Parts: sequence; C-alpha cells; structure tokens
Amino acid sequence: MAFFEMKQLKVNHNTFDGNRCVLDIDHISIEKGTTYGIVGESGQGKTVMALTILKLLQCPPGEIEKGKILLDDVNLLEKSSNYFMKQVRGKKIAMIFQDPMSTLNPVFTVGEQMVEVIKKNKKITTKAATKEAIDMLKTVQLADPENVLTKYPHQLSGGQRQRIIIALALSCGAELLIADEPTRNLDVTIQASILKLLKKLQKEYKLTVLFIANNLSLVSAFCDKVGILHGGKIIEQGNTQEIINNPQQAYTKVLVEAIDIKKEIKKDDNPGDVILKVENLKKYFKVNDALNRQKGLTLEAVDGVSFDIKRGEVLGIVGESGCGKSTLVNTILKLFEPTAGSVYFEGKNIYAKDKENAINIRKDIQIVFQDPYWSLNPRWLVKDIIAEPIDVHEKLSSLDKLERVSELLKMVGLKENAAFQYPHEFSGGERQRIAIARSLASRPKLVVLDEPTSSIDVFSQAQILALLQQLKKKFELTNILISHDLGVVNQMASRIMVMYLGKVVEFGPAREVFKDPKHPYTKALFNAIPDIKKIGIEHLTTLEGSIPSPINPPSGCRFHTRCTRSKEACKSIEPEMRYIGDNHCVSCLLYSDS
Amino acid sequence: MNNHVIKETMKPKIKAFRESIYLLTRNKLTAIALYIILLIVLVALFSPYIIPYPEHISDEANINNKFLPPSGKHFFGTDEIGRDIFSRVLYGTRVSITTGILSVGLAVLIGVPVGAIAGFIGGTIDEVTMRITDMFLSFPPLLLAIVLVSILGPSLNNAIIAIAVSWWPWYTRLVRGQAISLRERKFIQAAETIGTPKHKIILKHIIPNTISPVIVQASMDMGGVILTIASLSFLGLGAQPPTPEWGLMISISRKYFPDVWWYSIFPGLAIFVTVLAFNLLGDGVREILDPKTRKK
Amino acid sequence: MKSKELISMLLIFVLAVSLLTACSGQGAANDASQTKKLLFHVNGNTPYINLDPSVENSNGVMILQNCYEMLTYYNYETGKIEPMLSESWSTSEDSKSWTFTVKKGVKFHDGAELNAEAVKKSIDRTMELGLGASFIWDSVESIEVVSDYEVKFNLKYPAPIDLIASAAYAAFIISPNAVEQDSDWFNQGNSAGTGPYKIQKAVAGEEIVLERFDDYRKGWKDNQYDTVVVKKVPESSARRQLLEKGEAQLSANFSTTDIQAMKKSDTVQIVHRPLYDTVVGCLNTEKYPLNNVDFRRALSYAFPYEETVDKVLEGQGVQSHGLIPSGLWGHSEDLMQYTCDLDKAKEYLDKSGVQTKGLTLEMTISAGYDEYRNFAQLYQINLKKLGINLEIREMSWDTQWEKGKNPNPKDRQDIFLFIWWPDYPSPISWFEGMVRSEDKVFFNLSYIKNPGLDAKIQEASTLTVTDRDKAEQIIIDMQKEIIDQAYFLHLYDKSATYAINKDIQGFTTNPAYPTVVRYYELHQ
Repeated sequence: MAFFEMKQLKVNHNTFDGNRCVLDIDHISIEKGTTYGIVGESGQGKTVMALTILKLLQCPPGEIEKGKILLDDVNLLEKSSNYFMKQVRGKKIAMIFQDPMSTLNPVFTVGEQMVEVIKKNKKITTKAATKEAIDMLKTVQLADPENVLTKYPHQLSGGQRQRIIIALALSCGAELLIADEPTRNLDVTIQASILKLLKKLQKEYKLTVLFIANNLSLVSAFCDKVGILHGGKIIEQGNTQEIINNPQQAYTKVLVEAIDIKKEIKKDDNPGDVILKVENLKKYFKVNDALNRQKGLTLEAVDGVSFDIKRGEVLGIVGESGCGKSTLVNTILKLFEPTAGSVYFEGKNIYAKDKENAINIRKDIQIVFQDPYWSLNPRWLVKDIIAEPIDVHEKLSSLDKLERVSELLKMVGLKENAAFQYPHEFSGGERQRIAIARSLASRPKLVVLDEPTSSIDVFSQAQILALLQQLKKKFELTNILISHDLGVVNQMASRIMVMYLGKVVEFGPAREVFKDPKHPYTKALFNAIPDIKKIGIEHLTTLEGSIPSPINPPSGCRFHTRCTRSKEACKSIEPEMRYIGDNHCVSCLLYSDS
Repeated sequence: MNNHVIKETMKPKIKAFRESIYLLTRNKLTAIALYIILLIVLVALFSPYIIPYPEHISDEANINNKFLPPSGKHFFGTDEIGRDIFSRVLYGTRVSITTGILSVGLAVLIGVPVGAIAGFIGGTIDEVTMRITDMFLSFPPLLLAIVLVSILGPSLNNAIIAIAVSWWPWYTRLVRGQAISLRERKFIQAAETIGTPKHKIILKHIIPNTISPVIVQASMDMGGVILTIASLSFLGLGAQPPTPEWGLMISISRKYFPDVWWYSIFPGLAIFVTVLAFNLLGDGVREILDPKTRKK
Repeated sequence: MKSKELISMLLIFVLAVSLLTACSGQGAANDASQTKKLLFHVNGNTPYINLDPSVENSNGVMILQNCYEMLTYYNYETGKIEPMLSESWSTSEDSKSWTFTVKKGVKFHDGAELNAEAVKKSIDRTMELGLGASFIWDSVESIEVVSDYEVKFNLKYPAPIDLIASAAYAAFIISPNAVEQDSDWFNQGNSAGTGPYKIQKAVAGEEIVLERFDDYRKGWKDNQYDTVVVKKVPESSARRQLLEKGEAQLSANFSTTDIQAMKKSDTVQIVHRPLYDTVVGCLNTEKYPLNNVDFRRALSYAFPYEETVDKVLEGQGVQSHGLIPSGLWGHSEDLMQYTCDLDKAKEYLDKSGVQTKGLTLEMTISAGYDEYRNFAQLYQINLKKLGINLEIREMSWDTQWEKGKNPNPKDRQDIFLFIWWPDYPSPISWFEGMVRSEDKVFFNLSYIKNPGLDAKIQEASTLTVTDRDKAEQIIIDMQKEIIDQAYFLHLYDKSATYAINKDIQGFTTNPAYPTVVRYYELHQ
C-alpha cells in the first residue's frame, strides 16, 4: 500500500454561472520517502488539490463530490475538521506556500513565531523550544541563526523567509510535505539553493514530498515521479525521466519543448538605423528608511546606463529583482523623470517639454505589461480597452473604431465578439493578447515587452511568443524584451543586456552571450536555471548571499560581495564597459587588463 | 453609436447586475431587506393611485373628523385637521425616498470627483482637499446640517442641500484612499503610457473602480439620510406643512401623545422599517463586495 | 444583522418615541404639605425676561404685576379707571396737565413710604431709560412734586394720563431707594414695589419664587397663599399631568386634546377668560400681487373663518369684527365681516387681473402654536383651489420680525400672522401700532402708507380725552375703510383658557393685563 493515495477524487466549483468540475483525479499514489511532482498551469487545479488534502477548501462555493484521500490507510475525507486540526495539519502533513511573506506574521519576530509553533505541538518549555528553533534554522542552512530569531520577517530576504517556513513545516515532525510552488517568487539563483535544501532534508528526514510546480524544468530537477495536470485531470504520470524523454500526450510534448533554452533559433532581422539612443541614464529615488530612522537616502535604481537600439531588432534585458530593468524601462516610457542623462528617439530628445512632441512620443512607444490581470481595467469592456490609444491619438467614429478593434482582435487571434466581454472572462494568455492588441492600436514603432509570458501558462507562452514575432514582422516593430526566462529571451532577442543592481554588466549579440557568457554574474545566472536534459539538481549553480540593497550599493564593482572570482581591487574600483569581441562588451575587472 | 453596438455593450453589464442580485439574495436577511425596499419603492411610485384618500395629501382636509382613532375607514386614524394618516404615511415614502436619493446623490456627485482628483494627483491639491475635508468631518453631520438649514431657511430643498454639504466629505475620504492605491495599478500606468490625459484617467479609470465602496456607503447612508431628513423636519427645519413627511408628522403629533397615539406610532414605524431595511441592505452589499468580512 | 441587533434596534425605537414625547417633563414641584400655603404655577414659557419694572415688556409682566402697583387700575367690566396707589386725580381744561393725590401709609418692600417724590422718581426713571414700553409716557413734558402727596404731570399735548398710568407695563411705582439701581440689581432677584408679593428667588429662564409681603396695604387673610412658585414647563402634556395629579394648581396654553382630557378630570377645572388679543394676517401691500386691492379681497374671501373658530379653536375665540375686540370702546358688531366664500374669491381674483399660474405666497407664523399651523393648512387648501400656492413658514418671533423688517419689500413675507394687544386699554393702540405709516418698519406689518388714515388717527388720539364719542365714530369709520381695503385678514379675537385646581376660589383675569393672574385674590 502506498503511503499517500488519491482515488476517484472529484471536486466541483459552484457559482452563479453554473457548476464546474475543477478536479477529477483517477488515481495518484506516492511511496514513502519519494518526491512526486504535479505540473500544471495556473487555473488547472493544483492549489485546489493541495487545499482539499488539508481540508482547507472553501465549501461553498467548493464541493467535494466523491473520492478518497488515503494517508497511511486513513481516509482523510471522512474525518472531521477537529481531527484535522489536532492530528493532521502540521503533524502529519505540512504545507509550504509560494509566498512566505503572507505565511509569516509581520508583527512578531521569527523567534516568537517558531517558538509558538514548537510549543504548541510539543509540550516543552520556552527555553527548550528556542534551542530547538535554533537547531532547525541550522538544518535549513541559515547563517547566524541566533540573530535571525530576533528579526522580523520583513527584515529578511525572500530566500531566508522560505527557509524559515520550511523549518517551521518540519519542526513538528510532518511526514508528508506539500510544497505549493515554493520558489515561484524567488530569484533564479536563490531558487536553486532552496531546491538543494529540500532535497537534502528529504533524505535526512525521510520526507515524502508532493511538489507542485508550473513548469517542468523545476520538477525535472527535483522529483522522482511526475503527474501532468491539465483541465483537472492527470493526463500523464510516471517516472520523471521517462516522461521527459518520451512524452506521450500532446500537451506534455509542448511542455517539454518549451523549456529547452540551449536550442539554436534562427532570427532574421535586418537591423536598420538607430531608433533609440540612451546616454548615461540615471534614476535615483529619495527614500526614508523609517525602520532605521534614516532620512534623505537615495535609492540608485538606475546608475548610468547607456546603449542604443537599431530599428527592427529585439533587445533583451535580463536581470534579477532589484537590478533596475523595470525602472529603466519606465523611465524610457516617461513614467518617471530621469535624474540625469538623456534619451533620443529617432533623434529627438524625448524629455523635451514641448507638448506636441510629448504626445507623439506616446504614440510611438508602447508597452505590454507583465501582469495581464491588472494591466487591463477590470471594469472596461475589451473594446474600450483596446480602443483607448485610438481615442487619445485619433478621432474616429464609433463604427470605425469598432472596425479597427475587430481587426486587432483578429490579428491577435481572438474572436470578434470578445470586444463585448470583460477581461475576467478570459484566461491569462488571452488577456495578454488583449494587452498586445491594445499596444498596437496606435501603430507604434517601438514596443516594450515587460515579462510578457511569465504570468501565463506554458502552453500559451509558445503561442504568444510566436504571435509577437509575427506581429513584429508585420508591423516592422522594434522591441525591448524584459524577461527572467532565458528561454524566452533566447527565442526572441537579437541582442542581450544583462543588468545587476542598476548597472549594465554585459551586453552583446544573444547567440554569443548565451554560448559564452563572460561576466561572473551572467555565468551564475545562466547556470542556475535547471536544464531539462540534466536530471537532478547537483549541476545547478547557486549564488551565496542575497542581492544588496540599492540604497547602499557596495563600493567598487557592485557584484564583488557575491562573486567567486573577486579580487582585492574589485572592492574599490568600478569597472568600465570594455569590448571583448565585436558588439560584445563586459564590465568586469577580469577583462579590463589589456 | 449604432444600435448593435449599444445592445452588445449593455449585455455584459446586465449580466453583471443580475449576478449581484443573485449574490445579494443568498443571505436571508439581505433578501428580506431587498424585498422591503422594493415594496417601499413601489409604494413611492404608485402611492397617488393606491391610497384611499389622495386628496388628503394637499388638496383637502376634513376638520370635522379630526383625531379619529384607527378604524376600517381610516386604517391609521386621522390627524389634526382630519386627514387620513394612512394615505399620508404611504405618500410619505415618496418624500423620503426622493429626498434620500437626492441628498445622497448630490453628496456622491460632489465627494467622489473631489476624492478621485485629490487621491490621484496628490501633492498640494491633496493636502488642501484633505484639510478642508477634515474641517467638515470634525462636525457631527446632523449638527452641521442643522446649522446650514438655519442659515439657508427651513425647507425640504434646503435640507437636501444641507445634508449633501454635510455628507460629501465621507465620500471624498473613501474615494481618495481608493484612488491612491489605484494610482499604482498597472492599467493606470498603461493609460499614462498610452498618453491618456489626466482628467480622462480620473473620470474613466479611477472613478469606475472606486464605485464599489461608494455603493456600499451610499446604500448604508440612505438609511441615515432618511433619518436625518426626518430629524430636521421634526425640528421644523425640513419639510413644511402640508408635506406628509414622517418626521414632520411626529413633530406635530408630539403634543398630542399619548391621547392621539396613532399619529406618532405609524409614521415612527415607517421610519423604523425603512431605515432598518436600508441598513440591512448596506450590510449585504458590503458582504458581497468585500468577502473578507464575511462571517462563517 | 443578527436577531440580537434587531431587538436592540426595536428597543431603541421604543425608547426614542417615549423620550421624545415625555421629554423635559422635569418632575413636579418642590413638595407637598407645609404649614405655609404654596401655589405652584406652571408656565409654558420662561416666567420673565427682565425683572426691571421700568424695562420689562414681555412675559415678566405676570410676575411684576404681583410685586408692583400703578397709580390707577383699569376695571374692564365697567370700563372705568379706578384708583390703585392714587386716591384721586384731576385734569386741567385742555387735558394737558394732570394732578394725582397719592395714598398715605403705603409701604414698599424695603420699608420706604409711598409719596409724590417716589412717583416722580419712578416715572422719570422709566422715561429716562427709554426702554420697553416707556413710549407710553411720550406725551409727558415734566413731572412736578406739588406737595408730599400730590404729583403733577405736565404734558406736551393732551393725553389720557389716568388711562396710561394704569398700563400693564412701564407704569409701576418703584421704591425711591431702588430707583438708582440698574437692571442687574433687579434681575438678581430683588423687588422694590408695593405689591402683595416679594421676590424670594429668581432663576433666569427657569423659575421664580414669590413670598408674601406681610406689610401689604390691603392686609392678609388666613386662606391666602404665602408662597408662589412660577416655573417653566414647556410641554403641554407635562403641565396637564402635574395639574391632574394635583402637584401644580395653575396653568394655561394647552393643546386642544389636553383641554378635552382635563375637562373630564376630578382635580382640574377649565376656565375660559376673555382677552383683548386679536389675531390678524398682515398683507404685504408693498409687494405684488398684494398691492392689488381686489387680490387682497379675494384672499379675504378664501379664509376658512368658521372652521377655524369652531373646529380648530374649539370655541376659544370668536371671529373679529374689524380691528377692535369686544369689551373695548371702538368695537362694533355692525362692521362687515368677510366670509369663506370661494366663488366670491374667484370673482375678485378675476377682477384683479392677477395671473395665478405659478403664483406662490409665503405666510410666516409664530412657532409653537398648533392652532396657527392648523388653520394655515386649511387656508392653504382653499387657496390651492384658487390656483394659488401658499407656503407656510414657522419661525421664532425674532426671525419672523426680522424678515418683516427687511429693507427690501420683495424679500419680505406676503402674509404675516400677528397678534396685537394694547399696552393700555385704548383702541388707539391698534391704529398707532399697526396702521400708522412708518418710515422705519416696526409693527405696521402691512406697510400701510395712507395719509388720510394717518390724519384721522391723529385726530382720534387727541379726541380720546376730550370727546370720546367723536373719537369712537372716527375709529369705526377708519375700520370701515380698512376692511374695505382689505389691508388685513381679520381672523379672530382670542380668549385664554386656564386650568386651575378645583379647590381654588377667587380666580379671575383682566384682559387689560394679559397673562397676569393676581395670586393675592386666590384662596382655597
């Protein structure tokens, strides 16, 4: 008998619009001490499953129609909430969520929270509980655990918080750990270290892990078995290696293909003249660190960035959180005023104060945001959303407008009657299409794509990317593409710019940078992403420490605090951009000696 | 706009409305409140046609029949000049509902745009607006309304204005908070990058997204406003004779209580039921719009 | 909301209703049996505004008339002037000089003795202060002390000083020791008169306690009241309760339902007393369309006179004949009365040529009087049938008067509901107050500017002293013209309704001294 089994489970969601079946599992079985990965996209039922197991599902509108969930031969669905509270949650089954900030109570220190949980489950004194907390923190490889106990959650980094959550989950001796996308909100480099930690703990504590993820690459690194969840059903399950090497279902095949980053893709762009030129752009923010009672600090979000973009090409900007790519792009879009430096679009200074210039720039530069949910006004009909740029820059009759909107909808692959629906009636991918349609409505020349596919499912990702390339060709667009997903960047970008803490560290043709990254950071970044061809996580590169705060950036080379190859000089001298091939530049002291 | 476009545009909005009604009626108390209000509105609309003595509203009186107790001919008895109280109480729904809607409507019309502008634009405009709002908010609204009506002169119209002037700051504050958080939303930034002018952003993006809490507040306020109108009329500062306003009727009947108990009780009950219904409705609306406050 | 909250809302509602109605019924009098006899008089208004006898022109007259006395007293039954503090008096041929002989052996509250000097000082003080109703002495040039007990008034023009000296206000004789004092001293609760009661304690806006003046000139019997408490209890129902329980013994100004109920009580008797109060509607002759005489006549034919007197007032009034109420000379039952006749009203309306479409008239009435609101609503209904919209505005007296005095006639009301009563019992009071043209608006609230009438008023005033009959004829003629011109809506003459404890005897009132009850005359 397997340690954990789900049989014939059916869960419904009942609303005004009707009853929908969200989960229809035939059979899942997990052996003790193994890892089982569930891969599915957003909205497919993964979280519902996790909540159902722990009896945390909101009923109504949820409804468990039938089925059995067996843990060590005990059918959990037949037990009362009381039983769950006392026996199951935290004791037999523990869960870690994707957002550690919302799991930890912000008004108590980490120590207080851990001690409270430990005491509740084991009747021991505070002193003993504190000692145990410190032991647990050591187990999850947190440096300086005594100090960490005195800190509040917001004073720690995302990676540290997630480790604490894992520690809490284990502190009460859980046998089954459900991990619901635990690395979703973490930077790529941190992600790898968390995964390594989980693997280690699994071996040590003989944990059984149910790992929920939305992409195969993570699962491939971590899990023994995998089940593909699509439309509430497990369409394919089995040994991870087998599934990846020999996917049977069409959907699984798409998933497997989508994450091969080292594939060579032919890009046919003929770059023309320089359309956008950025010179030494700086954007500083004034902040007050209320916590440490310091005023008048400056956050150096973008600290001297220069580059140019040629008409018709795609510039990919890559970097982790806090590197300044969003600020850079927002400044170019004139959502911020620059602190210093200038930007020229088609030769004209975009920050010039004359009105006509200002309006026209808006017409020519557009953006597709990352979040397809909030980038569309939820109270507007789709036709109004798409027509907004038309209203600003042209005067069309309502019939002409509707025609233009229908055209655009067709172009992005949506039905014409979508014009009269609300955004919430569409999936993430479809909403992104609407956003793309909107960005094209004013016939722009430069379109910025800010993580265009990171919030949508893998299946749609490929389609969206294909669509974007199609549109680029059709409208002769130039793109700036921001993404942390190197696969996406690989597919689309002709040139890549890597940023770290407000500075450009490497810049060059995509093919070259991918094949042979020069800067230590670029290397670490590329190697931290799980390669689907390699099973297991040992090959992942992790970066120690966390990204420093841009309020007080490190002196000299900003990366020196985490660089494995830093020298004494790196602490004081700021490296300059040097060419090391044609069009390929690096900003690192390793390459500055001629 | 041609008809097809209009028809298609209305369909999703109607569907959204029907969904709200469905959600509202799930809670028993809210459903009852909804039916009561529906009944009140129907009475308000049709009262001139259904009441037994329509002429007793302002055209006739029958002083020979003054202070008759409730009977088959006069369900609620008669008043100080012989008019049928039942007809007048029912007609009074018209007065209360219209003044309620006008007062709240006016307050919303003033308060919402001011709050949206202050919250979205920020800076000095926000500071100045907030200080002005603070000044108004430091007065209890009823007191402020009384002062205003005393200056303007006692009449129902002035009472409506006075209440609107006392009430608008609450909406401003509500909407300003919303506007400040909406400012950071991506679709607002999208509108800015598109080049949409500020006033259009406020009107078309910000305000429609602040409507939910405004609706909650407005439906709860209806009850309070109707009570305030009745209070002002009770003090002689609102409706004037012969308007059949409930507060005015209670004020007149006070001197004759308890001999002529029916003259106080029935208008009082009308106020009670109406205000209660609106408060329950407001509770229900808040629950569906803000599920976090839902009780288990 | 849960059911718990529903129940609490219900409770609050019940509480609110009972609070509203029973409010301000602050408990009963201070106590029961004492060897001293106590009279508890509960009053709808504050018992006094100002206790200074030279100044007070308002509610306080009911207190001061019990603490102070005048030279003469008006007997309304005989219509004759009787001596009060005077023994006798005489006047010169031209009536420009009056000599009074003052009674001997009369003591003031502070022990001083009444003499001619005291009289001169009192009236001089009133004239000098120039406040309240002091204008009644306008004809006086100077006052002379002829001998210890003889005082002479020298006038600028002939005037009935015997009548004037009997006035309810501004004619009190004050102790010479108190004449130097200012109003504050009096308002602290000090009295310095010759009247039967002294002031023991005064709380402004609330109550006043009077105690018997042992040395009063007329002496005391056993069954008279030693102490009188006059207290403000605004609610009619509260006062009724106190009377029915026997805790209070005297009150007035009740709602019609309270009066009906008390008529059935064992402890209370209801007494109707005549007044010289007349209720009129002043029509704004300076504002369109009331500047049109036919329109005014139409308005006069639209008022529901009979219904008002029979049903609204329930007999506590009688429809007026002209301006002067019955009981005073100058009153004539032969004067024409308008009746409620909507056909006639329509006739005059058509004759006037005034378009009624969209026409709104504003009527201001004093707040707190149910009967005004009630007949105003009946009038409103009648006017609506003529296509005229009447707005009724209840206001405090001050606000109503301010509006009436607005420099721009168009900003004033159309109809001002007004009561008039004389300062001293003479019909001239009505004409000088309400009909005589004024440069600055005072009480002529129909804004009449008729030089013919002005001349007649002057003539009648002079003749009141010398040729009463001729004066009366002129007065009746003037009323004929006024009625024909429809300057006023002549509504009704008011009577007063008192509720007194059944055991009380000797209760009577005098319309020349409205609101005054002479506690000295009451006994059990």
